[in-house]
Amino acid sequence: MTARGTQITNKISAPAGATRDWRRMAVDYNAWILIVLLAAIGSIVTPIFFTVGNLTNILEQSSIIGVLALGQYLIILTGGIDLSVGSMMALTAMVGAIVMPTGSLLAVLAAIAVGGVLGTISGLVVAHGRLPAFITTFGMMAIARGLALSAHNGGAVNISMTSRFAQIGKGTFPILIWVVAIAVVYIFLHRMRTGAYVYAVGGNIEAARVSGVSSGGVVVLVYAISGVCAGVAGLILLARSGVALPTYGNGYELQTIAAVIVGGTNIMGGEGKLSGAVIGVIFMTMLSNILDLVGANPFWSFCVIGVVLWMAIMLRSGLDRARLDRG
Amino acid sequence: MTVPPAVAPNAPLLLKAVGLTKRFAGTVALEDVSFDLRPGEVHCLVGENGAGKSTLIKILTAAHRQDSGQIFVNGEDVSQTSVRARRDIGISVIYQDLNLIPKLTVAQNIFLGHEPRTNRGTLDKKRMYRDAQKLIDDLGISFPARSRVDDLGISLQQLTATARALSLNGKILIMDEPSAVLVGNELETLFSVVRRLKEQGIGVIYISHRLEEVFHIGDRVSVLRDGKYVGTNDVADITTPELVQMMVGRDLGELHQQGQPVPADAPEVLRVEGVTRGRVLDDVSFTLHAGEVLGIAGLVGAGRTELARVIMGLDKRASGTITYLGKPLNIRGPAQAVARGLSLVPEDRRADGLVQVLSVRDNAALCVVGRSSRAGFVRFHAMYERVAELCREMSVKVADVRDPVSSLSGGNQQKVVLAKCLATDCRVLILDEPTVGIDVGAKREIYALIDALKQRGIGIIVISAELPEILALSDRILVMAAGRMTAELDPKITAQEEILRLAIPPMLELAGTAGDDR
Repeated sequence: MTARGTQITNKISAPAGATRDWRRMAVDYNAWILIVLLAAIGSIVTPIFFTVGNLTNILEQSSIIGVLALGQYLIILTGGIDLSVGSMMALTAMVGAIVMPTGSLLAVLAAIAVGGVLGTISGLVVAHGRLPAFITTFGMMAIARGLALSAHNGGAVNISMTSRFAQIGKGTFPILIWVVAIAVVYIFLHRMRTGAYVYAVGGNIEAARVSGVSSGGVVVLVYAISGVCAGVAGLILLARSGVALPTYGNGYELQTIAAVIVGGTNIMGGEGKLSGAVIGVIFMTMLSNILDLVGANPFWSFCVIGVVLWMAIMLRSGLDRARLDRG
Repeated sequence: MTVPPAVAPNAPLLLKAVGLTKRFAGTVALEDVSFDLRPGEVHCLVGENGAGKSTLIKILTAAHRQDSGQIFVNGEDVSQTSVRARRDIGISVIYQDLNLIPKLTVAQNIFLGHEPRTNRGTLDKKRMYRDAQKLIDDLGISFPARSRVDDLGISLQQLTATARALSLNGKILIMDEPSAVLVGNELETLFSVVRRLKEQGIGVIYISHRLEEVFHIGDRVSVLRDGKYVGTNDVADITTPELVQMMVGRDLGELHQQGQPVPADAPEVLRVEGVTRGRVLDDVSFTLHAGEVLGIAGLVGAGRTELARVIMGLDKRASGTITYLGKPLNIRGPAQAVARGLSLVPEDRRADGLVQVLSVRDNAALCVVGRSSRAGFVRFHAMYERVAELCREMSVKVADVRDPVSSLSGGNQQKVVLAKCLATDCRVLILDEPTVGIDVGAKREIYALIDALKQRGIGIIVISAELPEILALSDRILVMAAGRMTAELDPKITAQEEILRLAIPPMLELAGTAGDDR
C-alpha cells in the first residue's frame, strides 16, 4: 500500500513528444519493413518472383489463412488466443458441403452459423466460465475436429464444381472476399463502439470494467467473429477445391497466430494494427512462395520458416526496446 | 536537512545512508534523506502514503539507483553496488506480498536459488530440511519445514519469508508493513519473532501504518513526509500526538481553502443502508447529498475501497440496500453503474484506472464511447473534441492528446482518470486515494477540481488515508475501522489525532482487517 505511490511514478517512460520519432515509426510499421525486405530478397533470388502472376498467386494463397487470421487478430487483441480456427474451418466446410444439395445460399448460411455458434460458445466459456482462452479453444479445437469427422463418418464430401457456389473459389474472387472481410473488421474496430472496447479490454480489462465497459460481451463477440471467419474461410476452401475434407486446416491455428504476431500485434493484447495482421499473412505466404520458387527442399523449408519467424519477432522486440530505452 | 540525533555515537552502525535523493520524471520521490541502523535495533519508518518509504527501501536494496547520496554497510561504501551485492552483504526485504511460491514446501522456499548441494553436485535434501527447520525453530515458533506454503496461514508464511531472509545471511532486515496482513494474535507472533531477531543482533527496519506498533516494538522511529526527512527520535522520548504531528504536520491553509458549505436543502443522491460483504464490510450505512464532499477515513484494510467497489457493482454485497437518486440501485455490474451516473476514480491508477497502452484521449473517452454512438457507430470527432476540451479544462500537461497515457506524470495521469469520469456527467463521484503518489502542485490542482465539481452539484466521496486531505476537502467525515463505520465527524471541529484514534482498531480486535485495502 505504501509502495503504490512511488511505483506509479517509476514507470513513467519517455517524455511526451519524444514518442513519434523514427523508432516509434519503425515499431508501428514493422510489418511493412519486414515485407519490403522479404520482397527485395525474393526479387533478387528469383526473377519470377516479382511478376503480376506470382504476386496475385501469393494473394490468392493468402486469402483463406487471411480470413482466419482476422478473427485470430481480434481475439489476440483482447488478450486471448484461438486454437480452434483450423478445425472450425474443416467443420464449416463439411457442413457447407453436406447442406449444398439443398441449396447454395442455405449452405453458406449454415456454414457461417455453425462457425458463429461454436465461436460464441468458446467466448462464453472464456468470459463467464473463467477458463483460460488457451484451454477453452484447445477443447474447441478437438470438439470441432470431432464434429467434422463424424459429419460424414470421417469421409470427404464432394460438391459439384459447375454450381454457382463453386464460382466464388475461382480466380481472384477469394481475394475479393478477403478484402471485404478486412473492410468489415476495419469498420468494426475503428468505427464501432464495441470495436473501440476491444483495445481497452486487451490493454487493461480491470480499467475497462471500472469504466463501465461490459468486458464479457466484448470477449464473447470477438470469439463469435472468429467463428464466422472460420465459416467464410471454410466456404472459400470448399469452393476452391470442390471437396470438403474433415482434416482440413491442420496447423492453421499456429499459422494464423504466427501471422498476427509477425504483423506486430502484442501477444498480451491491447496493441496491434489490422494492416499488420494482413501483411503478416502475406509475409508468411510470400516466404513459402520464395522457398518454392528457388526449389528449396520442402522439408527444410519448415526450418527456414521457423528461423525467419524468430528473426522477424526479434527485430520487432529489438526496435521496441530501442524505443523504450530512450525514455 | 536535520541530522539524525546520534543516540549512541560510539555504537557501530550496521547501515548508514546519507543525503539520498531520487527523482522520477519530474517528481521528487526522495529528497536528501538520511537514515541509519544499529545492530540489534528495531528502527521504525513511518510516513503517509507517498512519503517516500518505498523509494527509500528500493534504494537500500539497489532496486532503484539514487540520483545522489551514499550508503554504507558496516562502514563500507556500497552506494553503487548491485541488487545481488546488497543481498550478499546482508540486506533483505520481506515485502507485504511475501514473494513465496505457494506450491513448494517451506524449506524449498527458504532455500530457493541457494539450495544446499552434496559433494556430487546434487540437491542435498536432507541438509536443506534440517537447516530450514533450524532456521524456523530459531525464530521461536515451531512448524514443520516440510509443510507446503499454501497450507500455512499468512502468519506462518511470513515466518517462512523471514527465515528465507535469514538463510541469505541477512543482517539488515527490512519489513514492509508486516502487520497489515495479520489478524489477532498473529501480531503477537510477529512481535516475538522481531524480538528474537534483535537478540541475534540483526537490525530491523520496521515499516508500519499503525503507530501503536511503533511504540510496542520499536527502539527508534524516523519520519518521512513528502519525500523529505522529518526527524528521528528514540521511541521512549516521543508521544503518539508528537509522532502524528511529525507525520502530517504541514500547513493545510497553504494546500487548500475549504469550498462553499452544502446548502441545507441539497437533495440526497446516495443512501447506503446496512451494506455487508463477508468480513470486509459490516453493516455500513451513510448518505450523500448533491454538492457534498463526504470524506471516508480509515487505515489500510478498514474496508474503504471495498465499500467503493460494492457501490460501483464491481463486487457483490451480501446484504443491505443502496438508493440512488431516490430509487433502489440494483445493478448487475459496473457497466450499469457508469450508465446510471456513478463514477469511480480507483485507488490504483495503473492497475484499475488507465489502459496504459492507449492514448490520452482514448482513455479519457473510455466511459463515453457508448453514449457517443449512434446505432453502434461511434461519432469519434465529437467524442474526441469533448474529451480534448475536458483535458484542456483540467490542464492535463500533454503535447498531443494522441500521445500514450503512459508518457504522462502521475498527477497528469490522475487528471486523465478524472476527465474520464467527468465525461460521463456523473451525479456521484467516488475518489479512492485521489492524490497517492502525486506531487504537491498537482495535488492542489486536484483539490481545486474537486471543489469545482462540488459547485456543480455532484455528490463526491473522497477516500483517503491522508488526514489533512480528508480534513481540508470534506463537508463531513466518516471513519471506518475493520469494516465498520465507527464515527461521523465535522471536519471544522475535529483534530487529526481524533480521526486517527477512531481509525485504529483496538489491537486485540484486529480480526477482520485481513488483506490489503481492496
